[in-house]
Amino acid sequence: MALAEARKVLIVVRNLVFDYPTKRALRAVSFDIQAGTITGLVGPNGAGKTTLLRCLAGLETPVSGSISIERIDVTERPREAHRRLGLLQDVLGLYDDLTGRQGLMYQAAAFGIGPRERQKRVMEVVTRLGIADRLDDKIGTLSRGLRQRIAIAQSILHRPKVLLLDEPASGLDPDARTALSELLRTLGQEGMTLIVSSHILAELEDYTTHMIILRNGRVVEHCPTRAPAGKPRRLKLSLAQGSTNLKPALLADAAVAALDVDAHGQWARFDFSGDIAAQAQFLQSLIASGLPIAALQEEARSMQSVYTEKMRGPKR
Amino acid sequence: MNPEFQRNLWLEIPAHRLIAMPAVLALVFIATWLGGGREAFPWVAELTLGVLLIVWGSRLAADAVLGEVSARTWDGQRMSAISPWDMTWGKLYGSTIYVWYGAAWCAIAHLFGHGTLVELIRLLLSGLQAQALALLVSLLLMRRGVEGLRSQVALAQIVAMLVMIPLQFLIPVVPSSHVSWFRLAVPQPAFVILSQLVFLGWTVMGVYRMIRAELQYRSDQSTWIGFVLFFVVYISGFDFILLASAKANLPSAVMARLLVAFCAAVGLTYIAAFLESKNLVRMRLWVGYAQIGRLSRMLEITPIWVFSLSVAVLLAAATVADLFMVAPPTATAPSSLAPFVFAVLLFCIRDLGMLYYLVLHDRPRRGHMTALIYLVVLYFVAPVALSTAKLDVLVPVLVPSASGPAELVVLPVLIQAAVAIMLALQRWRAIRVVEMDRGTIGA
Repeated sequence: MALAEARKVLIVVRNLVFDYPTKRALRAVSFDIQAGTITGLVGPNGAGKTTLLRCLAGLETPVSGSISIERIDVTERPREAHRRLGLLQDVLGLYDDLTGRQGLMYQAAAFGIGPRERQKRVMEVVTRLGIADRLDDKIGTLSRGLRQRIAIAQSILHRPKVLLLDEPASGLDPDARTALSELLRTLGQEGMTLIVSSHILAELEDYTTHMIILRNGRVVEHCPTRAPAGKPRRLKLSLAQGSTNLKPALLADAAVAALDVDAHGQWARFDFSGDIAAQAQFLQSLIASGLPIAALQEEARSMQSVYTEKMRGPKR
Repeated sequence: MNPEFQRNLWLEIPAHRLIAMPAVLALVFIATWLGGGREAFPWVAELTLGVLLIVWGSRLAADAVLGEVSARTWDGQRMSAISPWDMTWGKLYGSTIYVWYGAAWCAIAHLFGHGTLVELIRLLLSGLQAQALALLVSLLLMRRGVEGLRSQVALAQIVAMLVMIPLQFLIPVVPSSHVSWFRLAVPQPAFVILSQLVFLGWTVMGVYRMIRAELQYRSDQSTWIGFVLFFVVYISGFDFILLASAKANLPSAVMARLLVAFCAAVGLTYIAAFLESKNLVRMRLWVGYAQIGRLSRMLEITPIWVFSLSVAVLLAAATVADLFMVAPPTATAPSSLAPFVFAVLLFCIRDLGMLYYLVLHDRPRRGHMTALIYLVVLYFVAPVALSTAKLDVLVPVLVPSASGPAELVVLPVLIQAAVAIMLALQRWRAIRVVEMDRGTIGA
């Protein structure tokens, strides 16, 4: 099992330190990211998110530490790493005077895609992103949402393993944000590994599988945003009225752990290690025991709550 | 086709511009025909070529990378698979393709007016040189972090124009004359064109090395070292130096050439020191590599002025050795030559110390300009003031002198250099990495 998990690790960062002339931006940052995950990179302004993304992209050279992507040392062999990477920056960096087609054909050529393959690859990507009908418009005349799709198309034309996105939702209207979330989720499902820096936690919650919280240049939390399969889920049980039988009834089931019952016996939170079928069985037995069950729900810790909790801690 | 060149073609030569350029040039040459006839064509063509290639072309070349930085497209290019060489020529000739299109029309007009081929080739080479120089300076300024992209473009263009316009228009090609270089009589037009070709080669090589570094390739400083060695040999080869040395009572031709080479190396040290980035993180890394003995990495990021200064030191030693061993001091040889050479080196070290002292603080960008002002005051204003106050005897304290007493030529500048280095080291130690600001929670 450990070996299988180790095989899936795509990005390894160890003791990364990055300095600006008079400021240390990253301090001993270390984490592993598994292939096919979508990691939200969150933290206050100035926490080092953009710097970390730029280091991962091989655009900045850290003072010390290492980054490897598919076992390629990014600091030593950045050019090789670039072939496996796509980067979407907060300012999109598009050639406004070119048409979408020209911009994408240029990008394809710049990534060394052969002349025969270029047209096919461009059409494949733009069809997927739903911008095929706007391909001959000048990029500068397109809306922010469409420009962003062109930028994403540019960054995935060479089929990178890893896509880095810095504040991708900034400046987008609600419809475009929803479409973006949809797109990122699809890319993740197709096996691309994404790291998304954003301030909008609620939105990240829609599609991320993991979260890294950066604070003051340090990783203060790196956790999954959903309970992985086979791991206990946190459930909350609510009764219509308090009952002294609640605690003994819950403890009777072997799948229940880490129980927290309120003083009036009106609700309880606990870890439940069974699957969904076991949960149905468990609920049935509780109802049969005469408890006035009002609700049983999975209580995922929201990114916002984890973030707030971590930000409240002492600054190291 | 080179993708960068192709992109520039799309951007720079749309259909309407293809028509506009010959239309405007046709008007210029019709006016020339009406005003001065066919004979006026060559000089009007030369002037137009100068404006197109040197003035406008250097602007476009200076903007080739800085424009990308400004539009935030440079990082995308840095992450692309375009090779450094393709990027170099794609930028250099792609960004300026439109002025070269105009230049082709002007070249036709020049030849139509029976202008000489040598003049035309020379002008075209000057255009290439100006553009390559502008791109090189823009890359250096970008790395040094000069404030404001527009001002960087303007500065790079001005440098290219200041170098190339006088060279092009103040040094005429004289077909019948010869240049005496290391006692070889080379026809002047051939010498000028060959020199231009070689300098163009070095400039393009410099651009290539800068682009290579931008594209995250590891680089060494061999190009700069090669250029310094080439330049000191090139400049010391002119035989008019021998005439001047005879007037100055120098005992040997070799010494005269060594002295010129030494001064050239010192000049290049100043140019390198002022143009080069003084990134604190890089400097810290340099110290770190030195401490752990990673010499190859240390050499990769050593400031290039160190190499030109090293060449200057070697040339100074060779000059003094020649003075004392090969040609012992005679009554005709100036006995103050050795102190003078030593003083020049010490002044250079003092100025480097002062430059670093001024640059090593929280607003380093102003340090260069302040240092430049101090140098003007120290080398020009203060000596004039001393002379006016009839204190000429103190001038060697402020400028290298070959005529004053040795103790006055060397000792004061030795103290100045020591103080400047001490101050720079103090500044260096005072700078430390501070904690990042906490910022605001933006979730």
